[in-house]
Amino acid sequence: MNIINAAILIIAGFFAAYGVACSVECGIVLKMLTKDKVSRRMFTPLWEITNVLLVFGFTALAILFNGALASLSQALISTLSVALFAMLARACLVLFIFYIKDEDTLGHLWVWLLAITSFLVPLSFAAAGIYLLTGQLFYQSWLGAILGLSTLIGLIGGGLVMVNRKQTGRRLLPGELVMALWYLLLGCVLPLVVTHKDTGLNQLPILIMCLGSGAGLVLILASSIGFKLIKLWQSVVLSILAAPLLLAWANEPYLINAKLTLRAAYGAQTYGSAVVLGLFIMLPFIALGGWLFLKLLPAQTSKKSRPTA
Amino acid sequence: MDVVDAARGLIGDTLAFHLFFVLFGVGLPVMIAGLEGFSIYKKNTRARLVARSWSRALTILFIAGALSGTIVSLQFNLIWPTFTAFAGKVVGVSFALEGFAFLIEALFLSIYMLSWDKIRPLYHWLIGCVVALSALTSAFFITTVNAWMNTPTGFRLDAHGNPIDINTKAAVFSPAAKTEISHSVLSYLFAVTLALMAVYAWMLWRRKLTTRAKASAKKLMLGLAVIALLLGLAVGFAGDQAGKFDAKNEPYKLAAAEGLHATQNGAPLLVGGYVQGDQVKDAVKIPKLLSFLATGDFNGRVVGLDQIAKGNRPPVTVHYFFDAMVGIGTTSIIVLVAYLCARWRNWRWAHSKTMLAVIVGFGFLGIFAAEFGWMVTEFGRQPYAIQGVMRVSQAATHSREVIRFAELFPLFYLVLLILTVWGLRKGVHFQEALK
Repeated sequence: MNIINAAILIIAGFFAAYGVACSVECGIVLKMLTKDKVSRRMFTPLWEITNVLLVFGFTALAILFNGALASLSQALISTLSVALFAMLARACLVLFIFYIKDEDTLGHLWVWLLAITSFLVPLSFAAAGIYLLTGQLFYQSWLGAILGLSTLIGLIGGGLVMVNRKQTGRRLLPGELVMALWYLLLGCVLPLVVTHKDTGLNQLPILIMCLGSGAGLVLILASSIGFKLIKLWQSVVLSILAAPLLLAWANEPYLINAKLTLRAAYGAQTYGSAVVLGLFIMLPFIALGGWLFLKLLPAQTSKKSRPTA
Repeated sequence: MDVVDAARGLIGDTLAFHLFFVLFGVGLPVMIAGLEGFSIYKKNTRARLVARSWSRALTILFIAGALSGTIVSLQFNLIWPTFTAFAGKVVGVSFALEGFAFLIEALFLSIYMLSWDKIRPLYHWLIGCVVALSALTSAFFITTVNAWMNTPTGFRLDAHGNPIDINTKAAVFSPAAKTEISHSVLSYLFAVTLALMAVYAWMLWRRKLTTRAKASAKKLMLGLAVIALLLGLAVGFAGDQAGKFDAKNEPYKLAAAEGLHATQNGAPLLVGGYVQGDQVKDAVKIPKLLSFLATGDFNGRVVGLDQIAKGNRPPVTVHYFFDAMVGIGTTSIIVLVAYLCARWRNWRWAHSKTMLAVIVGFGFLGIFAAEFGWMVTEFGRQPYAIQGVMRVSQAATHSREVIRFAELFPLFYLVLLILTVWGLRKGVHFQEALK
C-alpha cells in the first residue's frame, strides 16, 4: 500500500466513523418518535460535536487530494449544500427541543422534523460518496440507487440495533430485521449490479463485502435463536465502519470513478506522509475519546431529570 | 449579483457568523479552566458552580460553533476550490493541525461536560485544561493560514502559476503570523471577559438577587474587570504592533483603514468622517499622529493609496470598521478603568443602573469589535484572496448555484443565532450558581 492509498483509506475511515455516530443519532431520533423515554435521555446536544469528524475528513480530502477540488466543487455544490442546510436545521431543532421547549409541551412535529434532518445529513454525504464511486449523481445509475438505498436502510437498521442494546428473548427486533435487509442488499444485490453492469469497481473488495454481509446475516439469525458469538451492536459498528473502507478500496485507482485517478488528484507530495502519520497518531485519541464519551453517556441517562449538559 | 460577489458575500456571512462562536470557543474554555483551577486551589465551591454554569453556556455555543466551523470548512472547499487547492499545497499543514486541535477540543469538551461530579475535581480540571489548550492551538493554526494569505511566503510560482519549492515552516510562520495571532487571540479573550462581566452586570441591573448573590456577582465583576483591563491593554499593545507591521508589510491595508490617499511624511490620523470614493471627508484630523503610530516618528513616511493601481486598491470603507474597532477598544478600557476606580474608592455609582447598563452594552460591543477587526483584515486585502498572488475572482467557483445559496444561508444563520441566544437564556442558570 502506498501513501496515496493510505490517505484515501484514512479519509474514508473518518467518514465511516461519522457514519457510525450518525446511525446512533438516527436510532435515538427514531426511538424518540415512539416516545421512548430512555432514548429521549440519550438525546444530548453533545452529539452535534461529531460533526468534527466530517470537518476532519473534508479537510484531509481538500489537503491531500486538492487536484480534485475544482471538479468536485462543480459537481457536488448542490448535494453538499443540502447537507449543510440540513445540519443547520438540525442544530436549530436540537437547541429548540433540548434547551427551549419543555418536554411536556413538545409536539410530535418537532421530533419528525428532527428525524428528517438527521437522515438528510448522512444521506447527502452518502450521495457525494456515490458520486466518487460512480462518477454520476446517485439517481443516474443502478449502482448509485442501490448504494443510496442501502445507506438509508443501514442508518435505520444500525441505529435501531445500537440504541436497542439490551434486548432479551429470541425473536428478531425491527432493527435486526432492517439490518438483515441491509446485509442482503450489500451481500447480494450490490455484487450482482457490480458484476452485471460495467461499474469499473474492483471485484475483490466487493467479494469481501459480500462475505462480510453473509457473516452479519448469520450473526443476526444466530442471535434470533439465542446464540451469540459477539454482541450484535458490535457487529453492526464493524459493518458500518468497513463498508466505506471497502468501497474506497473498490474504487481504486480512481478518486472519481472513470474520471480522475487518485494519483492525479493527489497534490500534497511535500508533506502528505506527515499528515497521514498525524492522522494515524490521532486515531487512538479518537478511540479513547469516543470510548469515554460512550462510558459517560449511560451515567447521564440514568438521571431522572433532563440531562444538564 | 454575479458568482464572485455571491461567493464573497456567502463566505463573509459564514465567517462573521462563525466568528461569534469562535471567540467564545477560544475564550470561554480558558476562563473556565482558570476559574475551576482557582476553585480547586482555594477550595471554593461557589467558584466551581460558576465555572460549571459557564461550561453549560460553552456547550450551547459550541453546538453552533462546531456546526458553523463545519460549514466554513466545506464552503472553502466548495466555493473557493482554486484557493483551497493552492493554499492546501503550501499551508495545508496548518489546516490539518487546526483540524487535529479542533478534534481533540470537541472530544474532550464532551468528556468534560459529561464528567462533572463523576471524577475527581483535579482530573476534571485537567480535562478542562486540555479543552482550553486545544482551543488555543486550533485558533493559532487557523490564524496562521489567514496571516499567510496576507503575507504569502514559503513558495515560488512556476510558469503556470503553481506553487513550487515549498517551505512549509516559512509558510506557516509567515511574517504576519506573530502580530495577527497575538492581536486576534487576545481580543477573543478580551471580548469574552467583557461579555461575562455583562452577564453579571445584567443580573445586578435587571434581576432580583439575594444579598449573598449580589455580593458574589460584584466580586465576580471585580475579578473579571481586572482581567479585562489587563487583556484590553494587551490587545491595544498587540494592535499597535499590528499597525506598525501593516505600515511596513501591508501598507495599502493601513492606507485604506486610515483613509490616506496621498503618500506623505507627517501623516495625520483621521477619526470619523465619511467615505467618498478613495477619500475620507469631514474627519477629525490629528496632525502627524498616523506617522508616529505607524513608524514611531512624527515625520515618518506613510504610504497612501496613490502608490497602487486603482484596480488593486482595497475599499476605503474599511475605515469605518477600523474606527469602530479602535473606538470600542479604547472606550471599553476607559469604562473598565472608571469601574475599577469606583470600586477602589467605594463610590456607589460603580453599580448604579447607568454604569451597569454601560457594562452590558460593552459586553455586546466587545464582540462587534472582534468582528470589525476581522473585517479590516479581510476587506483590507481585497481584491486579493492571497495578497499579490491570487485575486478573489480567480479563487471562486464558477457554479451559479452559489447565488441562490448566498441568499438562503444567512436566513438559517439568523434563526440559529436567535435560537442559541434563546437557549442560553433558558438553558444556563447563571443566577443559581451565585446562591
